[in-house]
Amino acid sequence: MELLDWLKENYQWQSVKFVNEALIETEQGRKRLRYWSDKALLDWHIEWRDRCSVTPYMLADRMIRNKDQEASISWKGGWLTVHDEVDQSAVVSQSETEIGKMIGAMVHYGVQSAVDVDSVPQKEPMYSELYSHVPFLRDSHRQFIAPLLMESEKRMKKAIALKASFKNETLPLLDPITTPKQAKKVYQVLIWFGTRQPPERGYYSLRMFLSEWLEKYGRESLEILLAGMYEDDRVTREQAILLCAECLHPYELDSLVMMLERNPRDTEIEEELQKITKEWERSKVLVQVISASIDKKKKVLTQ
Amino acid sequence: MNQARTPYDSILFYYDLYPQSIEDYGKIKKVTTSRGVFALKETTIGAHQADEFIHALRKLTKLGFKQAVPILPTKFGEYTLSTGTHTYYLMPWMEAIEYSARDSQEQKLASQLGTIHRLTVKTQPFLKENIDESYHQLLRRWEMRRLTLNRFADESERKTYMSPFELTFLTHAYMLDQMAEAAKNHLEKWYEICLEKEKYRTVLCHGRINRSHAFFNSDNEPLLLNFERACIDTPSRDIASFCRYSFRHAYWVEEEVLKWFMNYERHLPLLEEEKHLICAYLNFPEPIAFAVDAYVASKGNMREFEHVQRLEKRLTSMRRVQRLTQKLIIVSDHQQQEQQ
Repeated sequence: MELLDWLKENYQWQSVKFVNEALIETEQGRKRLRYWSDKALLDWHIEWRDRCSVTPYMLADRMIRNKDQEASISWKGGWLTVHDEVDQSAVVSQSETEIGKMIGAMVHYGVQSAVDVDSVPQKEPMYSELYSHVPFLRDSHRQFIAPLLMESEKRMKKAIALKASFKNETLPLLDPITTPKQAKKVYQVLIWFGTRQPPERGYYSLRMFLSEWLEKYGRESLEILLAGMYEDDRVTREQAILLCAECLHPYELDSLVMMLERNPRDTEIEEELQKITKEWERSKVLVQVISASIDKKKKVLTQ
Repeated sequence: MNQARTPYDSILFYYDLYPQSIEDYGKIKKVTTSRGVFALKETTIGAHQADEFIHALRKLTKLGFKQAVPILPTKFGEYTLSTGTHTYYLMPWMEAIEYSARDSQEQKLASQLGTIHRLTVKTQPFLKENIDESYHQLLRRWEMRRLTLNRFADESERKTYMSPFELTFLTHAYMLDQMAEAAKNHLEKWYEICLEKEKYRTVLCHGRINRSHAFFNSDNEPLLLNFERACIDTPSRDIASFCRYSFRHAYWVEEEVLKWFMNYERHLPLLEEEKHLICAYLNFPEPIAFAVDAYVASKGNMREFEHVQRLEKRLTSMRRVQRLTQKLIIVSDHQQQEQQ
């Protein structure tokens, strides 16, 4: 049976046509198709999307149910899911709290959910590999990198110490939260568009997301987003500290390590170093904002 | 897709419904879309109660009951949507059709009530603590209500110039107290028989069955709606509620009410103790107590005249209930012997 007929039969649509291979147009609006070959991964994605919605104003891009109220249909040895498709992104400046709440719900679920799905191994910063490259760099580059390496060691030590003080705390299993573009709004409903990737244990992607948020929307906006995350105690103080520990990890030098693997030109290195400087500064602010938000949370708790 | 135009657009997004118009019928919104016309119910029941009522409806559907207005699921498979302040659910829109059958609407409803109760009846294992708790809880509540009514009567009596409401109440205070006493006696009888039989029955109660919670189709058969108060309880509670809301439609004619019971008992014959419990519920002057509460609290914008009018109406109903329950429900000695 053709895919469109199979979809019509399962979702009881009268009219379905392809927009492209992942998008279809139906009488109930434009829908996105996702193909899954790993059942455990699919089940995990169904579960978190269903559990992290706060009706009616905030939801993940949940799987639309078929006529038998199933979240997926079988297709060519795997499974297909159907999701809403929304063109416009959310107006972020008015949605920080909602997006924060959504992330808070994901963290809350990610800490509590039982694990029966393979997750991505936790990332570690690559800065230590720079030591082997440093002797071959120009003096000016060496002088630039040396203090960063020293600082990296300090940041790493702090991060390890923070994590050690909460070693019994479970890190959340999260669908990668990578960009503010994942939030879209329609009919006053904020939809968070998830991925179909394996989940990650910990806050690596969230840290990148928060850093991008800080760069694009500024400190004040980030503070509102964090407050939204902490609302209703979805993200506990302990988890916020673990997030802070992740933000201390010196990932900024990773791109340089990867670049040096392929013998770049000096101008390329210089450009990369400039980029690193900006990221480094941003990470500093990010840690400050998160630390301040944790202090605020502590004050609220002790008041 | 457009942005929201009404607060209901967000809710309707969950159904992939994009309204062309929304008409306000109180708690029901008539939603016209390109995919048809729907009824969106807005209620204040909590998420837990919403789950319970959906569970009750699904249970009934599983048992083959088809006389309920279907609840349509969202595109994500939920049957209700809770926002924290409100709960919403969607049904197909139904236009009222003129009822043309010879049997009354209540006769048909009684039959449906009997069907629901027959499908869900369970004899519960006897747990004296449960019976004791239910009995004493209700008794305590009634005693408190009775005390409140007596106190109101005493206070009214002490006044040199009584208000028309107080005067009306006092004129009937003795009768009401007698009815409360009768209710207590029936409740005691129910308790005694339950202890003696060491069992009792529960059913799925609709909670508020009456003609305003039903649509009659072209075959004059009822389709029930509003299962929001559905719960597992004794059939007596559902029947008493049905009677209380429906007596006026029968113009208090005994023959008509008798037919309701006949129709009901065609599906589930009532036990003696259940009849006593129906009598207990019906005889207790709860509607009067509510009227007094409202008068004392001066709730709403009702004037003295309106309070009196409502009280008089309820007093008339209570008198009629007293008369009807005496004649219709209690099993005779002969029947009792037969049952034994």
